[in-house]
Amino acid sequence: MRFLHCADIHLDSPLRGLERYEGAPVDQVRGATRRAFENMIQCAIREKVDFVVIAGDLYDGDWPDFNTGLFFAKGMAQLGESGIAVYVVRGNHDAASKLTRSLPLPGNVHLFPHKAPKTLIDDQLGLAIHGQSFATAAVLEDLAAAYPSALPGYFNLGALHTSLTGRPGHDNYAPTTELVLKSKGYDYWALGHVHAREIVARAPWVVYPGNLQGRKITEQGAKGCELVTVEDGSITTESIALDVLRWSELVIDVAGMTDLDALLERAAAEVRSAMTKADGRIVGMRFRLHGASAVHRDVSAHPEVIVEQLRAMALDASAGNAWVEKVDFRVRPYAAINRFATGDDPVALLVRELDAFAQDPDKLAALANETLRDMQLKLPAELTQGDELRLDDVEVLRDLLREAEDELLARLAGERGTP
Amino acid sequence: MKFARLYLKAFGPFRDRIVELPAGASHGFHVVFGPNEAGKSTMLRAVTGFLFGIPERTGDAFLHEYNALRVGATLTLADGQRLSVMRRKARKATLFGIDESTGAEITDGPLPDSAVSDLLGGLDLGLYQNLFGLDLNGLVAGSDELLRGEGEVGRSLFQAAAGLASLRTVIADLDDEAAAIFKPRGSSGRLNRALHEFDEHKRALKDTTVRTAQWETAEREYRQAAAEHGQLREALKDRRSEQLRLQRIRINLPLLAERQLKREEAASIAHIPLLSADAPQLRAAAQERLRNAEDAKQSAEARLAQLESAAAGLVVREGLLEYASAIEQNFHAVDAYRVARESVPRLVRERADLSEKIRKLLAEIGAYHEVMDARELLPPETLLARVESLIDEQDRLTERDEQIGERIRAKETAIEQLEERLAALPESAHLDALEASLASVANVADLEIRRRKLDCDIADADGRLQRDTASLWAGSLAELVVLTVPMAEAAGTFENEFAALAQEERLVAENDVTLRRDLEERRRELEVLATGEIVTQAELAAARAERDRQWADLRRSYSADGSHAAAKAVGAAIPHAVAAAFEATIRESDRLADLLRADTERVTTLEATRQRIAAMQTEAQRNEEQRERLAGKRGNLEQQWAAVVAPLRRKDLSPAALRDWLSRHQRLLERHGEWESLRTEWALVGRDIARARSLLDTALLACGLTASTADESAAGVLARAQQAVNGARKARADRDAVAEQIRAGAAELRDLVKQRQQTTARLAEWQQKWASAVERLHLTTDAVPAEARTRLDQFSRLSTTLEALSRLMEESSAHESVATRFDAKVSDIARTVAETAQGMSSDTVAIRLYDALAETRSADMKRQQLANDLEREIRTSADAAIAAAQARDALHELVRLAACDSVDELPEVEARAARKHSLQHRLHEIDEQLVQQNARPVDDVLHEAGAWTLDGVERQLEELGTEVEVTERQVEAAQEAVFGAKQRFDAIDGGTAAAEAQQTLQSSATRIAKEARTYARARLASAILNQVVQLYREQHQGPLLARAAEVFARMTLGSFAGLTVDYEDDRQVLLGVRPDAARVPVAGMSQGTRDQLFLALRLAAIEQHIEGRGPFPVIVDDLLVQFDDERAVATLEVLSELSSKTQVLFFTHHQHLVELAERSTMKEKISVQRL
Repeated sequence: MRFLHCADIHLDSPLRGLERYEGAPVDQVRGATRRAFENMIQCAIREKVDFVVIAGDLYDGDWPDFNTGLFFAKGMAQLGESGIAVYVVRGNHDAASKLTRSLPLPGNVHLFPHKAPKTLIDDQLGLAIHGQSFATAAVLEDLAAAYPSALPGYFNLGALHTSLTGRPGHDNYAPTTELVLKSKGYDYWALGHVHAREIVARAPWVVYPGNLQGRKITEQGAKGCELVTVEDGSITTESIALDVLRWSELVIDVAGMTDLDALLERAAAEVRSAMTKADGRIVGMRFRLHGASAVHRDVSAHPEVIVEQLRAMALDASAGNAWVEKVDFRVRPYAAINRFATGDDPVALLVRELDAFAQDPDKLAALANETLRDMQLKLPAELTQGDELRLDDVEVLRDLLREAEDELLARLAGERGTP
Repeated sequence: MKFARLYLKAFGPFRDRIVELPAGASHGFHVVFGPNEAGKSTMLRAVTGFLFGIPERTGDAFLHEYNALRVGATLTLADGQRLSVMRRKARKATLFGIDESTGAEITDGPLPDSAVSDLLGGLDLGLYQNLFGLDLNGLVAGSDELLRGEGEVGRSLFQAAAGLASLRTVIADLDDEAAAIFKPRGSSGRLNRALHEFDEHKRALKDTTVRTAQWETAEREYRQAAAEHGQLREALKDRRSEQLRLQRIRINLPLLAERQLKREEAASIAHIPLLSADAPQLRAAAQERLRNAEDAKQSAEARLAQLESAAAGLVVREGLLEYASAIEQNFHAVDAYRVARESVPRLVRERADLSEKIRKLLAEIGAYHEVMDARELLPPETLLARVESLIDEQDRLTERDEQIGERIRAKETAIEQLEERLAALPESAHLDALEASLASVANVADLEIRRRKLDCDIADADGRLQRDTASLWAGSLAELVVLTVPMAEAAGTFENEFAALAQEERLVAENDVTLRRDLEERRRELEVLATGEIVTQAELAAARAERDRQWADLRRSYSADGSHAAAKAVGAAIPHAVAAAFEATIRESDRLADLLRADTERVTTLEATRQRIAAMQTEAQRNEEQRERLAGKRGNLEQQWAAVVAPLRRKDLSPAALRDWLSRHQRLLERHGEWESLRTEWALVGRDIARARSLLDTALLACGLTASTADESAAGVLARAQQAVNGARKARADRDAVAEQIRAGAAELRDLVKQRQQTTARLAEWQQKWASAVERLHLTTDAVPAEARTRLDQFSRLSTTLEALSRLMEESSAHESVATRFDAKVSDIARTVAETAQGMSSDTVAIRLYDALAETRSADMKRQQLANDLEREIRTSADAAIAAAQARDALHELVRLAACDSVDELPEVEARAARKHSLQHRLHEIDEQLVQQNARPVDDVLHEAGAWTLDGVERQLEELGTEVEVTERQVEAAQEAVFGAKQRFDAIDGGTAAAEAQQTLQSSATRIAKEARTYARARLASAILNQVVQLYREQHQGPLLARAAEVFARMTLGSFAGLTVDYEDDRQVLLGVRPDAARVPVAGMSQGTRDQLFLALRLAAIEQHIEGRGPFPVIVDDLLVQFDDERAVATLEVLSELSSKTQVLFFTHHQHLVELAERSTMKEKISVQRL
């Protein structure tokens, strides 16, 4: 018996943080989640699996384009034509989705109910599959606890959308423990919700396959599904990469670099390495520049120029297959900045003053309010609630302050900044 | 921290240069002077390179490799410790220690970069130079910025303190950057545009997103429209089928009427039997057959009677038929019988002829046998063959014997001729001794060639040596060879010294030229500057002194009088000339002051130029002294050189020429050596030739030939000897060849004689065999082969004749037997068939029998034919009888079927049956047509037609037509509705438009976030910088301004007494204060004064920085070139005061600044380093 286990498809949800610019591989990345999903369908057909189990979050509930559902249904129909059954539990994202309820799904798709757990049996395969969907977006009780015990003589599979005992970066839904799962006597627990692949346990198998396509820089590495083979009572799993765009953070230590050419050269090497690892896929990359060196001044004085140069270099080094998501500047000068703070000169005063703002959130908020209010009023609300634009957040402001400090010191050093 | 020493190890043009920076009581005020090109700027870069690292790309690596660049320093730290560090150009580990006492580099222990940067408070090059550096560009830019900023206090102070060229530009840049991103009331900023795009994308997303309800509606509408469409189509279908039904009825009605009529007629003749359609034809045929059968029977019976009478008249002899084959055989044998009977007499004659011939042959052979026994006489075949073979053998043996005899005679003649030739050939001489010695002297010719070559070479070498000697030396070659010469190294040393000297002289000369040119230029400049009125300080001072003097005079005279009235009187009494003179003096001094003020710069330059000229003249003097010193040095060196070259008797030799002379001398010595070795070889070759000659002579004499003569060359003698030896060798070879031919001929002759003996023996043997063979042929033993051949021929003819006789006797007996057997057979048959044979020969009887047989056979055939005819006629008669009976039966059957009484009634019945048939057929056709037209049973059609009439149907059809048209239009409309609904439903096809719009929106949001952050950063930076500027003013204005005012006053030489701050349009601005308390805004100051104001602010700030951060070397780069001497001196004094707080490195390439410093009162405080 062979089956695919996937979860968190989040069909049609957009890739985050990819600003468009000249040369960015916009076309190659278009519809990435759909193409990853298609890859899954093809994989199931190619591997001649007996069934596919989807452990929740087919699509995002807050973004209900019915076309998404129809596309999903088409994929399911393709599986149906190949005689592949699909077992689906709904997760927090698609729990309350009206879309899911109205969508006409082909007969090979079995949707688990949300009121109580249900067991579906395939006598031909000797398969008993247990599952329960989310009724609402936030299910806080332990669903697994109510799952029935294993059916003797069958291969028992539990499908569940859960955060287990909690996973960083993920809401704590349908919490449960390994002990509860173990107590059911199942052979395999097909979990969903957590976007990073994780084999939680092997006796019995408790597996998060991760999502099909990483959607932001925090979802790095290969993404896809599990191909599970059950043979003579032994289970083997294999992770199949299905993603179209791969996220990668390229960390570059600038220590010892004396000029920008060295930085670009090093970054180009990192890009090439990332491209090789991505196996021909598009790579969404974030450069994280850190360390102390002489290039600090160049980088701080004209960060936008550095971004442009890194983008151009990445395009060149990747043959147009890299999309620079962001450049995170964490470069420091040789000496600790607080050494500037001694003395009565303008530089020392500036550093002290910046430090005073950083130390005093009220003062900082007042300054921000005074200087940025005009702009904030114009920013759309859905953005100011997001992660990037929280200009009322002290940490965000401190970050900006740090960048402003770098920029000011660079400008005070004038053109003679670079030795 | 301060520099105690700089190591310019490898940097720019410097190599291993150490610059000491001694500190006196103060931290040190070091004036580093380097004229143009001497490396002042390089040294400045070396200092900053040491402190902050040597830049990645530097122009200072033209002499040294990039990675060889080194600059080091010994630093004195705040705690009095000393630190010696070397900086190398590299990406990392650039610092390592130096042993200060030895200067050795400690390369195995690199120091961290922080070892130096920590000492600088972590400042980088830019910040350091801005805070602690002073240069002309910074000064001018700062001063200009003071003017543009109208002396706004906060910014002025901050700018001066931070060493910024333009604070205004920094803030403006930040504000511009922010404005380029976002304008609160605009739409052109990048963020404004991004926000606008975001809204558009949001709308696009809304437009493309398909809500679930939308899909449900579309689906429902599609379903409903489809259902409605279906219903209407059903209704239309019903109406159309009713229409069809009525049309069908309309078509059926006429047929149905005809059907009714026909059925009624058929009922009227229902009792008539239904005869087959061909009944009349059947009846006529039966009647015809009956008539034919009766006719045939009558004619057959008549023919039968005729045949029977013919058969009765025929006779046939059966016996002849029985022996037909024997009769035929005999008939065919008649010819053979007749031949046999006639050939017997010819055969008897031929036998007698042959017997006679045999008897004659026997007589020839000589044998007297009977004819019948003659066969025994024939010899066997083997004997015949043997005799043939012996005849052949005798021919061969005889021929061979004759051939051998011929060859023996030829060979004997040849040998005799060869012997005569041998006797005629000469005997050969014996020259073995000569031949042996030839080998050992074979190379004598080469030796002679070699000696001639050596003669030439020696002569050449000798000539060259003489020529070389003459060019090198005044004496003989022998003297030159043993002459002691100076060492080449001495020449090198002297050459270097001369070159160094020449270099120095050239430098002095060039310097002189440059100096003179510069001097000329300066003088021209001076002339230009001096054109027009030049007011110097001195002139102004003089004019003022004159004014003051006149005023004093006036005052004196005024005071001396003592009373107001008197004063008035005096005033009135002041002579007009005095007043005018005083006024003129006042005007003049004012004018001069004005001019001076307006022309300060020109005056400064004029002064500077004058000083420069003076300095140049001094330098020209120094140059002259140098030249004299160098002339003395040259004299000395030339004297020493003359001593070195004296032994060579060549006073004119220069060091370079000596090197050349020495190398040529060396070459001459080498050639002399070569010449000597050539001579030695010449002697050896001569000896070898003489030895070869004597050897040859000895050998020639020994062989009886003449010895060599004196005028004959060794090669000639050798050739003569060789010729003699070759002649002797040829004679010997000729004789040997002839003797060999004679020997071979004799051997051949012997062989031939032996062959002839063998042939003779074989002939004797043949004779024996021949005798025994011919005896058996009835010949004598001495018979020759020709006889034997004749006898063989006779035997052959006898044998042939015997054969012919035998064949003839066999033929005769065969003929006799044939005739006998034929007679017997014929008589036998004749007796059996009772044929008369009496008196007739057998062959005649046989022919008669044969003819009788033929007659009988003909009769027999006729009888057979008649029997066949009879049988046929009987059959014909019987057949006719049967056919007549059948025809009668058929007629009876027809009558029965027609249910009538006789054949005669049949035609009437047949006509009525045919009518009945036709009716039935038509009815059937009608039914079929109805069924075909309606595709259903006739009963259904009848049922459907019911009581419809044609008119009724037409009316109903017209109404229905209208109804159908209406319904059709309704169906069309419904169809369109379905199509539209389906399109709307199908449009929701799982497409990506909304997903892509969402992605675009996301990208747009990312751009907004980025731009917003950049904007926020720029705005925060700008706001904070403004705050810091004001804060700095608040904290430092008092002390900073106080100190700056003090410095400013000193640098302006009291032209200003200080500085103050006042409000102007709500801004605090900086003002200069004159000694008379007049306030001068920045805009009212001259460029020079403004420069000094900015410098005063900078110096005050630097002093303050040092208080805050501790002492750092202050680097001053050619700052004072635009100051006049007095202000420059004043500034140098201020700087020297600064050196009591921290080290000051003053770089300049202006000599007069150095001289000013050296002449000034703080001479002791200053240490000057000249590069």
